[in-house]
Amino acid sequence: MNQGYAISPSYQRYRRIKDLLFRQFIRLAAVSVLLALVSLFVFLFWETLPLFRSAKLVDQTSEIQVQDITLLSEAEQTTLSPHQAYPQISAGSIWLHGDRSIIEPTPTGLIQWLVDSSHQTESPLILARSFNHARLDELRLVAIPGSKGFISFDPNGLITLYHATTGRILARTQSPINPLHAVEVSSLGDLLKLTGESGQTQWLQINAPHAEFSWSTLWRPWLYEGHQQADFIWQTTANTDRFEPKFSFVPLSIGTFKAAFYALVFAIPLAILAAIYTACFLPESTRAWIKPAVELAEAFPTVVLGFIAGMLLAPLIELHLARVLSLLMLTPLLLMLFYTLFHRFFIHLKGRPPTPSLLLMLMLLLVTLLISGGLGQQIEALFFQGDLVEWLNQQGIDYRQRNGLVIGLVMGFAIMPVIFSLAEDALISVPESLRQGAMALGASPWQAVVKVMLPTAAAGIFAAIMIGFGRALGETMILLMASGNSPVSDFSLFEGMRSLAANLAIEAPEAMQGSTHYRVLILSATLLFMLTFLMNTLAALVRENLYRRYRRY
Amino acid sequence: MLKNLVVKKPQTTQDQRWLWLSGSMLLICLLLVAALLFLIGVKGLSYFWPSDHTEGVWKSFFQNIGFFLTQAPMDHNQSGGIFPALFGTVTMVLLMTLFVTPIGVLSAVYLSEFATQNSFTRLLRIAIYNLAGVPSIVFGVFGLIFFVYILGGSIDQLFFSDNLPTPTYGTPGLIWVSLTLALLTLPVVIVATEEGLSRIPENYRSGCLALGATQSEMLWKVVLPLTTPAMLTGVILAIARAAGEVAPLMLVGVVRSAPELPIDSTFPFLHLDRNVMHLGYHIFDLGMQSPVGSDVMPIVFAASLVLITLVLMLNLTAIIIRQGLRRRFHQYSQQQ
Amino acid sequence: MTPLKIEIENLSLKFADRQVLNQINLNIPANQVTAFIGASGCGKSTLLKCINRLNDLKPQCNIEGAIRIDHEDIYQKNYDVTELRRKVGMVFQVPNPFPTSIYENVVFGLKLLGVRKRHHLHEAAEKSLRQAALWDEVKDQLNQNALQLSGGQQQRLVIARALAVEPNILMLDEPASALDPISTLKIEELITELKQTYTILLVTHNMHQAARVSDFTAFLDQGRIMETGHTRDIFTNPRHKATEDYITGRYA
Repeated sequence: MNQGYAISPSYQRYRRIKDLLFRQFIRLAAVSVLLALVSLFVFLFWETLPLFRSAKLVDQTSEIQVQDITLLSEAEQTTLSPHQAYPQISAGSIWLHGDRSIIEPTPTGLIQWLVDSSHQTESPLILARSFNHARLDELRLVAIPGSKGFISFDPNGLITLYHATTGRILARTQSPINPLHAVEVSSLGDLLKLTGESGQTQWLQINAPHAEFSWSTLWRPWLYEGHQQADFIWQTTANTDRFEPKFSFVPLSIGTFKAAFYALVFAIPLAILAAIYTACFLPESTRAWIKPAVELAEAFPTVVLGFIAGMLLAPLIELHLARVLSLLMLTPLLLMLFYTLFHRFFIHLKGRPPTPSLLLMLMLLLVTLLISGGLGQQIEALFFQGDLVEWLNQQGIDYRQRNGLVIGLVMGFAIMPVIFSLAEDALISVPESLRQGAMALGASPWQAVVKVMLPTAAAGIFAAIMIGFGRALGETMILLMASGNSPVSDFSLFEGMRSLAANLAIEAPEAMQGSTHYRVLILSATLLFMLTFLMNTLAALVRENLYRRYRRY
Repeated sequence: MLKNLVVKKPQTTQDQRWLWLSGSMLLICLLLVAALLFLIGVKGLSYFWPSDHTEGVWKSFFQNIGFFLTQAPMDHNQSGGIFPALFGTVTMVLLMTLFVTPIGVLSAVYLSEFATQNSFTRLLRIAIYNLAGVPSIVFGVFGLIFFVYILGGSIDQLFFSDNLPTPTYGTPGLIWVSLTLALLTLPVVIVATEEGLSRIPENYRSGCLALGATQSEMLWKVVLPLTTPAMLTGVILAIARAAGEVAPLMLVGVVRSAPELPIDSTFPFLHLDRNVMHLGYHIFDLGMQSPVGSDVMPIVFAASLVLITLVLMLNLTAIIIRQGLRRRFHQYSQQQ
Repeated sequence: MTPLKIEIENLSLKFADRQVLNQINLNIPANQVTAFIGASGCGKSTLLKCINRLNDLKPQCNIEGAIRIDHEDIYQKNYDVTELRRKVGMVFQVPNPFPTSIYENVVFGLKLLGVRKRHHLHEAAEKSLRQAALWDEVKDQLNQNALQLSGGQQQRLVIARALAVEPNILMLDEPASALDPISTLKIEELITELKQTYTILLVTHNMHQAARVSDFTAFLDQGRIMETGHTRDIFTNPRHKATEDYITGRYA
């Protein structure tokens, strides 16, 4: 070959090296990005682990600057012993920090009594829980300042650390000094000073940073100070230091699922039926603009939706509750009814059934909406004395302005485009030949859709609903702005709620770094993450299988 | 006899009824979208409409809009403009773009061009796609504990130990907002880029390789230039999502009212540690936290209109680019 | 006998668990047109892609055996694959010009090789476009987008692009299957023209085309070479029943 130019070997070597470097660079960079992504969530999980670490009582042998520590002896802890206030309580009992509950040693074990100051009943004390202890004679008890923990010392020298709220024994240790002469605890509740008969001293460190957390308080009804019975309560801050933090995920989870459920109830029929119509009955040219138009709803920032829900819609719904409910419930029925009438009329007039067109439908729909709205008002006047909210209150149903109905409507609107879009994708990917086959066998267009296309696309539609559900579980702004944020365990349509996500938005900025509250919040974020991630993964697998099955068509 | 032969179809009316019902549902969806757009449009624009009907109505209308977009808020945000919020939104989103574009594109290129395609990469891909469905508030919590407390805390200890215990970076600020947003939108960019890469016909690749190109030359010279519109779509969608996102930002550095803009004339000009204002948070704050009895609805609607216009315009751009992209390769895929 | 250009020895190829090529032994003479015929999916294209190692990047691809070009094993370790692909040009079934200008398409390979001088590029572009019999049609519109050319022009452009890097083997994978009869004729004329300078491998489904342009023919069936030999021998006097059935169109 007579080339007019030379191909230099060194340039070819340079190309090879450049290629190698570039490939290694991308590989390295991308793998580290992916690893970083994974480690992010490992890290999130990691931050919750200290909650589950067990407490310890550690011998403190190193020097301690005693002057910095205020020590409280057993006698100094309270001015008045529980025995003096409540004679039925035995003499060896103590007040816990905050003077709202009493620990009493009894022959069967230690018992926690709660002081019920709110009601003047015959017995002002409520039995909360009991703790087992091997030896109960000559038991000495010391409450830990600043928390609901307390410590027992028995004559054998066994020191036991309890936490009253969780009802757990946190740690046990054998006292290095026995018999004990005096026991003092620091005012911060982190150090214990033991003094023996002969005057020798020993310091113990109380290492129980997350004593108030336990898995059972998260999920079970629990009896707290100041309450008469066990309940699911989420209350993390108060303005007194005697406060007992109450971590129950139950009201938050109920709030989350309730909001998502009502949103789905509104969104599913709307989105799925609309998707069926778009995918199966609209000509391609109309579909090309209708689909993006519906998907436009996804672009609305949820903060705007939340604002409209909380400030505009909630007062409006309170004012016109009956009308809104009748619009929601009567419209589909009336639509069917009116269509049947219209159909008969049309056949009578023209001798053939009406051809479905969007314009005709729009007219029928508007008429139906008007009538069902008006009907709602009539029903309210006839059956509910003209004011449904008032009537509900008389029936003992609490009506909040920011409630499940508002959330269901607005969040339903927010997740509707997601479900619509994915369900439509699933339906449109069903091969046209299947449907034509069904129609060739004599099925009507709607039958072909219901009997053939829907079952084939069912997995995809299910996935769409799952993804919509996941979206609803994690939605924050709408709930934050329009749900009232009261952590109640209630499924009522007319009650407010607080969801896990909204709770994070409210409390995470003010939780002190490293505190139990902080870690419990991270735990709730981890749960939320795992819940939605699992749901999305399931949906993704279902979808992938579906598409793989139909790729060959 | 003949009468019986006439096939009656009792199900037809009922079928038609369902068909009409589903059509009506579609119309309800559309009506809802339209009603919402109309509501925000009218309420938002009426905030700018001058109250006195003098001659220069249109002139003062546009002046009002200009005033709203360029002036600082007054009277506890309840009047005046939204300039700092708009500026903050744009700054944080642009900063986010700087982070998310290279990382997202790189990861996507690796995933679809270099990684061996096996069940592990399949799972990895699903996991990344699903990150897009993880609630944004979770990213916010992550940003707070990892970026603000741990990363920011260590930066303070290393470089700003003089100022401690007053934190410099160990407190919510612009950089953490942008990083959190980048994390949040990373899947969007990865998904869009991967989709773009998979749309490049196999023909181009083999044609290029057959000419003696190395794999990286093939990527640089043929595949990546052709994927640019897809990447752009991804980045624009990411920007649109980030601009509308509020919940995670409340945790990592967005405030009700920031005394200074994040960019100014004092060194180092871009202040990554400053708190910023954000349009979405502005709406939340005005709408929910204003004193009882103050009528903030009109100004919130005006701010909402600005935000929605911003987000919708970004989305529309992405849709248009994507449509163009589809058309471009449509011809090619038909040949095959 | 003409000298051998490519020797294929015991070549087997598996995609995952699917045996695509099975014990292929074949010698390809230099400066001749060798046609590969056989039913769809019998492994013709895969065999071509083995010769320029385009299968390397495919996942789960397992190749055994040896291919020697000019007596040098191309599957040996540290073999420069990019240099191999420069020497072995390939044209695909569907014309695949890059979506840039005609000129950029032709000089694409040269630029990769580091040729920067303008006049070198121009000379090479003109030369290869002339070789591909496209110069007269496009010389005034070199900056036009290549995708605006007709299918036949695009295919000749792709051939020109492959010729520009001065290969000595040219592989054509059904180059005319997507083209109209006139374009097909032009491509066939071109092949006859080019075999003076290049060793040409041609995959085709068109029996007449194989008979018209090739000197040697190899018939593949289910990943095996069933029969090889001079084209006229195979077409007039096939040794195997399967070959005869395929050629006469009775292949089931």
